[in-house]
Amino acid sequence: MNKKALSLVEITISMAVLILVMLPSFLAFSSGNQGIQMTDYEFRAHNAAIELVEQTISLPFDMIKSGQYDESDIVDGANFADTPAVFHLSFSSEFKPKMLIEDIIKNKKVVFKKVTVTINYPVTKLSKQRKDFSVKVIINNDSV
Amino acid sequence: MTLKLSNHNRGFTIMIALILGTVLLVLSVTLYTFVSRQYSGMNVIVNGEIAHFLAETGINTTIGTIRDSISNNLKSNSENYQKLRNIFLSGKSLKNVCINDLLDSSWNNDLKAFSREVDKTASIEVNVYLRDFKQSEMNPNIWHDPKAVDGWLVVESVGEYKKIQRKIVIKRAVSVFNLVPGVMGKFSLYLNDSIRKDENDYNIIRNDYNGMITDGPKPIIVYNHATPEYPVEPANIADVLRDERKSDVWQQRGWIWLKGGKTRLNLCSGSGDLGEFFQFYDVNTSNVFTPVKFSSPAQNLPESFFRPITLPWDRSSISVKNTAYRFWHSFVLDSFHDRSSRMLVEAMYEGQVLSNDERLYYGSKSSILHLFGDARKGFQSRTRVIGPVYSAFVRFAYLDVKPEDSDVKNIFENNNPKPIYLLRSLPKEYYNDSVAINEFAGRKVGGPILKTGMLFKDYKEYSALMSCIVELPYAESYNSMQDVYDRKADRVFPTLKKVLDLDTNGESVIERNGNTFYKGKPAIEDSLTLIKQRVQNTFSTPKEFWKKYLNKDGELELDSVVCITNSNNEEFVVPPVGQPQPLVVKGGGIILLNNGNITLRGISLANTSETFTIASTAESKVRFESTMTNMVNIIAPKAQVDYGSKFELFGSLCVKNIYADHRFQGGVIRYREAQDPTHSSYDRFYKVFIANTDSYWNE
Repeated sequence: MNKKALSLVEITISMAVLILVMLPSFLAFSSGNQGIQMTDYEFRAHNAAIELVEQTISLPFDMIKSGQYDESDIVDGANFADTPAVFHLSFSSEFKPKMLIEDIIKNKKVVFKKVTVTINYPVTKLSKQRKDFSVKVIINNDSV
Repeated sequence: MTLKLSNHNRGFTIMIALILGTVLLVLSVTLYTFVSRQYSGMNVIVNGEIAHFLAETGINTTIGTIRDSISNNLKSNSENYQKLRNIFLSGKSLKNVCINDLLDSSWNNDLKAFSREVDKTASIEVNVYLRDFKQSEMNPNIWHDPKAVDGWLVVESVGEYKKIQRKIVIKRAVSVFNLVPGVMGKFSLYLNDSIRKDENDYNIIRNDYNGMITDGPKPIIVYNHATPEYPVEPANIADVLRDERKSDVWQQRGWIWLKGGKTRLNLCSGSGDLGEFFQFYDVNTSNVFTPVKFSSPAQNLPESFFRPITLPWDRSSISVKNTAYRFWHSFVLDSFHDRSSRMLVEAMYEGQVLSNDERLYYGSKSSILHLFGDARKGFQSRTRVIGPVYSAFVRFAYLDVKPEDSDVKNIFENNNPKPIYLLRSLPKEYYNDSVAINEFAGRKVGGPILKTGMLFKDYKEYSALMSCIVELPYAESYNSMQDVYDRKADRVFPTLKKVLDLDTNGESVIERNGNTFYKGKPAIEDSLTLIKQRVQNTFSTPKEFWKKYLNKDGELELDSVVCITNSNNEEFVVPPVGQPQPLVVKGGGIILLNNGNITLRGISLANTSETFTIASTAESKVRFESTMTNMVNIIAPKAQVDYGSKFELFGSLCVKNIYADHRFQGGVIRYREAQDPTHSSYDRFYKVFIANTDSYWNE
């Protein structure tokens, strides 16, 4: 009696079917993984921005010194401008913060300050591509 | 071992591959879907946070403008102010009213520009609402003011970013009420327990016949209506005189309640500032007073007065003669005086017209409380007096003698001065039918030789008409003054026209324009309850209070209702030592003191739309240390007005009692008519209080 083995045709067809099915699966996995990484970084960038904004707007109005601040100024444990306020930052060095504080003057008085915090962050872990995430807020001078 | 595959097993590998492929496909699709959803979920959170910051920016940039706008509106007289004030004072239960149009709401344009900087999908909108306004003073047994409401000023900021919205709401408590201290605003003077030892306590002033006081205690004169002398809101004399004629003028004036035991106030003699003659004197001509001769009503007279009586005349030393006389009864009323040019004490008992018993019982000192203003036209200030309050005064009873015979009549009437027959005051034990009634100066004038028994059946008839010290409810003076204003001829006393009567109950209704503010028996505690409800801030010590509200010019910028617990019992000195006198009060307000004495050294209101009250729950003392005017209401049911400087109070004095002794320097209480809830001027004291602190809500 002849022993019938899997035919080459069968194997070829099976491989083809498997490849056809696996390809979108791998694409989907890859995309999902990238999505997770993007979401992770975007979320962390967002948190970093919020952290910085919250620490800034919680200061007394007079201590919010106007100016342009970058990653060399915004360092965990360092003082904010020349004030006694100290930054307490939890984000890593992959996230590059920038902060722009502008005076809004009415009737020769600084009535508001506009704070723009921008976090520059990598899209994914190994990616060289970077994105910016910004938050803007205006703070009221209660003493005016 | 060999693998055997039958014909029907062929295609097995493909099946495996298909199944495996399908499983992987499902897993990958699931993962993809999950990641996609997670991503969009994260976007919602992230975008929501940005929307939140946009909303916060909306609040930050507008809250100051909104506060200023409302505050400016309420201080100005603009059209918007009127509209805003009308909404606040509508007394309606407002559920949700947007008031952007009444404020400078250009902020939304500024916010639009800012949101465009963030993203083209970003937007910020800030709206201001009056929300959940409900009536707060609704008990007519305490105070019912339909315009008093509590609610919220709501600033609502909605930030939107990539279709995600976040709303931040800031609420500030708003209270609208009238700063007049409730039912006590209707009283000039309210003494919660006016008598401590006996009914004679307030009668300590030594004055002469003209009302001049040379030493010792001085009176408090209470003006229950606005007079031309008022420091603010002076009245026009013509208006006062016109109103004075109205028999129900008491309804438009500050009331007086002397609570507690019976109070007898000996009226002060004299027609000057301090005298209280005016109740019995005719005041037809400005500041010229003539005593009114009152006739006794016919029904009060014995039968002997209605027919001529033949009696021997008193000139029997010349010729003996019996002749007919007619008699009538009249009297003049006079007041208490202790001194005269002839007698330094108890001068009113000179001539023995009044009895020794009366001298012992009543004495000759007059009261420190002058409840009906002073004698000048326009300054007489009759009003409703509640409580067992009596006035004591002297009735000099005359027997009017008229000879029937013309010859005798000529002799009789040609005497100068005219013959006077007084019915002297006699205690019962001294009375009999043969007490002589002689001409007062002992002259022989052609009058009758008359004995009491010829006119009176018994002591009862005599005593009803004799001279004496009369004690009548204070209300009788009010009624009698109506006769003066009605220019009534042949006046009788007490007058037959009863406008007011003795009122020990005090049941009152205070209403205007169909609204009943109060119904019941007014009590200082009612006002105190109301003030406690209205307290907005509490301080531990007077020092803390002054630190908060005293400005750099030493003025009190209160504009609030505050409580000072003052558990250390520190004296509350107004103005504080070292600050300018008088203390200028801006914005009005009420201070509720839980402990400590109150010392007043002069208080002035910055403008007439303000009212200022100091209330106290403590068993304390209220002392005046300056002759300066104190424009303040004192609401202190357990406090005693202590002796100190002569004072002037412009407002309502509602305390437990007044400590009256030889050191009391007296003063003036000027009821502030504008505070009377029955007057439309009351409405000027409504205030809109917006709390200083915000409540944040994320919705």
